[in-house]
Amino acid sequence: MKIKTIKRSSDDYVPVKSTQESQLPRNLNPELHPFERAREYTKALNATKLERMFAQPFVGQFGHGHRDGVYMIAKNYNNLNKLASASGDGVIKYWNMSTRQEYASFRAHYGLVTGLCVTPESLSKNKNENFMLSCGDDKTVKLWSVNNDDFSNVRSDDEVTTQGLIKTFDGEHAFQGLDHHRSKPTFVTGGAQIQLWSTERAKPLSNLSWGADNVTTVKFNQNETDILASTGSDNSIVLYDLRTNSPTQKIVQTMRTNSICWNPMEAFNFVIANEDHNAYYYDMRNMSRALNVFKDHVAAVMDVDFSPTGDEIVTGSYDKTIRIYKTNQGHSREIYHTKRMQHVFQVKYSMDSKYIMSGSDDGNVRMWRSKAWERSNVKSTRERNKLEYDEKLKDRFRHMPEIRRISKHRYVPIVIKKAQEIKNIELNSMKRREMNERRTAKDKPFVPQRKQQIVGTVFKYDEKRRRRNIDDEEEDVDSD
Amino acid sequence: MAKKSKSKSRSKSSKRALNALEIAERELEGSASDDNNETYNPRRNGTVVNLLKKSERRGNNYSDDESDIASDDSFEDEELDSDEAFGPGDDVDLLGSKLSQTARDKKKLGKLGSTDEIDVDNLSDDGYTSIEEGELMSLSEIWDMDSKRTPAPAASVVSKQSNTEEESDDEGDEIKFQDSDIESSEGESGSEESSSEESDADSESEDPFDEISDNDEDVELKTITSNLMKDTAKFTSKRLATYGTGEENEYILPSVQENEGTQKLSLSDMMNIVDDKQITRKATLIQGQNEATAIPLPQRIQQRNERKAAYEISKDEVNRWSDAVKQNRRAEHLSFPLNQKVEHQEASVFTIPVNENTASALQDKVNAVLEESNLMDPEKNTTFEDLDTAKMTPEEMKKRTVEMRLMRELMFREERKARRIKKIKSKAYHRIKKKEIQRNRELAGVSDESDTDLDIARAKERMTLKHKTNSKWAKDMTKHGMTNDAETREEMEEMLRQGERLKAKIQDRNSDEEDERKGLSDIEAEEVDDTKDANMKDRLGKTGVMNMAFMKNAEAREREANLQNISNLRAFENGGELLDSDEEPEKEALDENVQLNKGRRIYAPINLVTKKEAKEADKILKAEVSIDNSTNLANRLMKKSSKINNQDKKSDENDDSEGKSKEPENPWLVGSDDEDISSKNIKRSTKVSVIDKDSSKEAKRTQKIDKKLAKQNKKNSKESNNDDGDILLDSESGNKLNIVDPYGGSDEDLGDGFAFKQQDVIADAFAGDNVVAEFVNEKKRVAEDDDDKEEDVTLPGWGDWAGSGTQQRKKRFIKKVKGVVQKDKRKDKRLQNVIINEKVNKKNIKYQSSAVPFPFENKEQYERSLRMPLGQQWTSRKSHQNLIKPRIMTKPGEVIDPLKAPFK
Repeated sequence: MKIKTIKRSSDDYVPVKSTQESQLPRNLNPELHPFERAREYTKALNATKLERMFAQPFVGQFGHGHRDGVYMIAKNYNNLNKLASASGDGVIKYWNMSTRQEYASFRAHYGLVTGLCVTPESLSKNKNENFMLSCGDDKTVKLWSVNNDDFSNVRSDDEVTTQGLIKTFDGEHAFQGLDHHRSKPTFVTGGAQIQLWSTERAKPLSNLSWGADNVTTVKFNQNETDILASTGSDNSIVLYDLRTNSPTQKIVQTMRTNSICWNPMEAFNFVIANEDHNAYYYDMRNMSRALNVFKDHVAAVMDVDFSPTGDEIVTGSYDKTIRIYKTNQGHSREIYHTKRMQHVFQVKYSMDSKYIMSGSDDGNVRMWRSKAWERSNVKSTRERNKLEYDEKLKDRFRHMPEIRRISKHRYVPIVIKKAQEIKNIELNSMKRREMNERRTAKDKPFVPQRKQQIVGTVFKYDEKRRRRNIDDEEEDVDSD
Repeated sequence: MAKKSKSKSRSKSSKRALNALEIAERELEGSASDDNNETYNPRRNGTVVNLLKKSERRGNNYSDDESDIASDDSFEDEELDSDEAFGPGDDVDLLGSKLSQTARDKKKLGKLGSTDEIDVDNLSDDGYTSIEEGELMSLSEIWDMDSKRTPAPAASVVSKQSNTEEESDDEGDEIKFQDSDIESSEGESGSEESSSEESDADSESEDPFDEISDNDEDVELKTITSNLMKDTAKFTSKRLATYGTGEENEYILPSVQENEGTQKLSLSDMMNIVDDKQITRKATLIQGQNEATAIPLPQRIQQRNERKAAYEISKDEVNRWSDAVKQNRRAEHLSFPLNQKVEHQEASVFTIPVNENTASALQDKVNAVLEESNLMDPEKNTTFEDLDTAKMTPEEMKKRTVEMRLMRELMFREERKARRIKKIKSKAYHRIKKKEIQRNRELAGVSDESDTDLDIARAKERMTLKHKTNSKWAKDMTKHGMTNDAETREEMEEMLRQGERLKAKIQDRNSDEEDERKGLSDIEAEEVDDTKDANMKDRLGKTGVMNMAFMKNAEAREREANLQNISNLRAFENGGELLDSDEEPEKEALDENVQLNKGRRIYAPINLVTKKEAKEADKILKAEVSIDNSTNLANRLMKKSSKINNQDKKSDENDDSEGKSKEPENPWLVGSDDEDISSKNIKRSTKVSVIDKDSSKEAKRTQKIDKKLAKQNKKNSKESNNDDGDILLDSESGNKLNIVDPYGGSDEDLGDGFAFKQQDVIADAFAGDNVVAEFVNEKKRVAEDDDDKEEDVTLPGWGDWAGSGTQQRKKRFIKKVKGVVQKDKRKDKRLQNVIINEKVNKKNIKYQSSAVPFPFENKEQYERSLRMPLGQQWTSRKSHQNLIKPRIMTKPGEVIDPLKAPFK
């Protein structure tokens, strides 16, 4: 027989230090804690409401912005708080993200800056040295050293500066798009041709062109560093491999692609921003179909960027909004907009996946939280636990009607709302018409949504293998 | 026409969908300024983008550009525009793809050249899906074919050179080649140039889907070459005739066979001309392998093959990541940055150097100075000489080692012994051992138990009340007749023994505890010993108190009593009943008195009381035993049978083991236990028993008895029986339905008893219940309850005039109360046997998911995901922490690098 006595020593519950939280004795007897699901549901509901209350996505804008629209933003892959942006008048600004002030501002090109990238840290001698590559419509690629002292006496943006300019590469045509290799001192430029350059040489190393059309953007893979992808004005996406020094695969879509981003965690997947209001997620091993289609925008998607964690993408659109998608979902989880923000041309995730930078037509570079309700302050263990618990509860009960309604509710500009309505009506009518047609024409082939945008691929994929791959992918998606 | 309109409307709606934003803006702003649309965007409109192909793009119907341009106009105008902008039927052009562009060009060309449009249509319809690798024919193949058909005029030595020539001439104009001697001479020098030119031309003319249009080109090429071949067939003969007539020089070889132009020029023919022997010797070496090297594929096709190969390679390369990617996808938690660098603490001004040897120059100097001035304490290292052992003499040393060895040996033995003892499982052994240790301790003067231990033991005794049979548990046990159970009995005995011990302790009788544990045989042996002792005593002498007469008498009495007790116990142990203590009450009383008082008789009321109590206890015990026996079916049956034929009485009485085996035959217990039944081959429900050949003797016997009873009853009641013999229902023998196996052997009188049909029984049981009608009524009532209702809310007299001559107003106020569902809209309207409850609890809807959400496949799965609560109230702290751990964790202020290759 057990003897139960009430014993309460002050040592157990009175904290030793003043900073320590007093321990709360708790009784795990289930009789004292009834209705667990009901209580957890209520907690989840409250957490969802609080999330919407705390949702303040906009952090602020960088300095006073540009004079012209911001058409290029380049992030520093090795540094959290540095960002470069370029505008339509040829001015490049290098920003300190923590203070949101500029390190440097100079006019780099005559006319539009069409490509910008910060060179990798491994190529500079010490950590604080920064180099930057820019290209423009004036048929030049320029290599800059952007240290603070280089631009201490540059005050006017009226003339093209030579300060900080290390090297100029002259090309035969206007450039379009620029990206630097992750580790080697080589870079690729687009334009009338796609060319591979070395920083040591004045002339391009090789010409990778396939077909005669313009190349609008180029992007290196960050994992398999010798692979790159480009988009062309002929609505094509071309893959290249620098090891074999040749283009490898090409697909053509119904509309032009505006931007590409490779998944930093999955070497073979990339996402593209398309003019047809959608972003598409592709596997470079099998491009006969998209892995996923990200819908919801009501105008062309201008830019897309992956979160460094590889589970989310951010898109900026011509409809003046930014949307955030999970890679395994088709619809956005978040939409950002402000009254003054015009067409968004650039969106970039910060390297810690906490913030999003956007550049828009109105000449401002804006900074947003990637999770609108999250705050970056230091939290006590208890607070952190509470937040994590809330997150899990929200996730668990997210299918409940009330919670879903609250968590999905967003105010969007009336223009967007209206456009959504129009688009829905038209899409539905098209769908209906197709169904009617199918009723009479039984042999009409059914094209899945993930293939509709593809006009064709150069190298065909084995039907059997493709099916297997699809199964694999679907399994993966499900497992997520 | 209808088709056209359909496609037009589709293109219109797709256009509207794509331009949704612009349309929305226009509709919303209306009168307001259209400034947003006016903003000219160089990037967006793509004019700046395409510097090289500006002019080309202008003609391109790019939808967005178009809409931008059109956006200045009114909405309706734009619509008109869009309709007119592209001709009917070519919706594909909307998207301005390169393919359609080329197709259009082709079309134009076709129209100009008034060629058949079928070809072009084919192209546009098929796209490039219809092209197959096999259908394509490389240029070289065509040329090969050509060379096979037409007699090649050129010698094989020249063929290589000429081949490059052939390639460089894109259309392969044979005529030109063959008569242009100068050009062929240029072959070597100009080959590089031409190839570079060619590549340029190639890259220029190259189309993204040039491979696709190959088909058509090939077709054209074939026709051209075939045409040419016809021509050349004529030409060659003509020309070769005049070929060798010219002067022989390094470019022109003499024709050997002037008559037969078809014959080939062989190497040997040429060798004949050469005079130099050495050269011919060398040349003969070549003779063996005079085949022409394979003609390289046309560059375009070669490039395509290379690309394909490169694509395969890069796919394979990239495939190496798939494992790592999959692993990350499936990981429950990912903490970024994934593979964090290990940070080594680098030496700096603030870090203290760990290595002492690296002393600075200053330190060295200071040390030197200190040493010079004898201020340094000379720190010696401990050497062997400094150790204690070194100071000892060898004898001492030896002695010490022996000592040490002994100690170690003893310790080892002790350890082994302890291990062995620990292994012994016997409780008796441990008890003895414990006692021994205790005794040793007492001898050593060590208090055997601490006070607290004693206290605890006492408290335990007090709390557990292990020493009495009147505890609740013990009472329960006796009440429910569980005393039969060996275990419980043992436990109760243990209790009593404990009580005895306790009593002894309380009375401070220093009885040896070992007595308690002795078996009967021990006691007997002791008794024998005692007699021996007595004999010994007799022999020893006749003096002393113990030899006095009354002492002897007392002793004898005691012995007698003991013997009596032993015999009683023996009897009990051998299965006999407890001897009735009533039989010899005086003796017992005497016994008791003697035992307690050592020869002195005391008549105390307490003694009587205790005796009474003991009697009562005995009674109770007997009653219990009788109850137990009665519960035994076998016993009961035996009793019954004994009434009828007095036999077999002895065997079953008080036989525990047999009783146990029969216990499950209790009809009230057997009924539910199917397995037991089947194993025993006796099927028994609570009231049905089936007996066949294999059933045990006893069962058969009981069956017989029952039958006899039935017979008697039958005689009494004189009721007829006419049912089939297999199923019998014996109403009077305890309502037992006996299903008797017809093959049951010696059993007779199968036609006994009377039986009912099952259905009749059920019908009887539910007589008077009109279930169906009740159900119908209930359904009707529910339907009415759920239906809309009308309520009359007129207040009599309200709003009326009172008094005589006033007219009663007819107006009535009727309120309609909406019910759950209207009568004729019920779901169970046509279902006769069902009532569907259509009341919806609106408060519950809030907590119901309308459908099973996506990743889950069925309801159960989803519910399972919700089952385990996460909160701290319902789980332990650790599992709570695990449950709430987010899948993706990032460290603030850390750059998250892309995935590193795990295979590099």
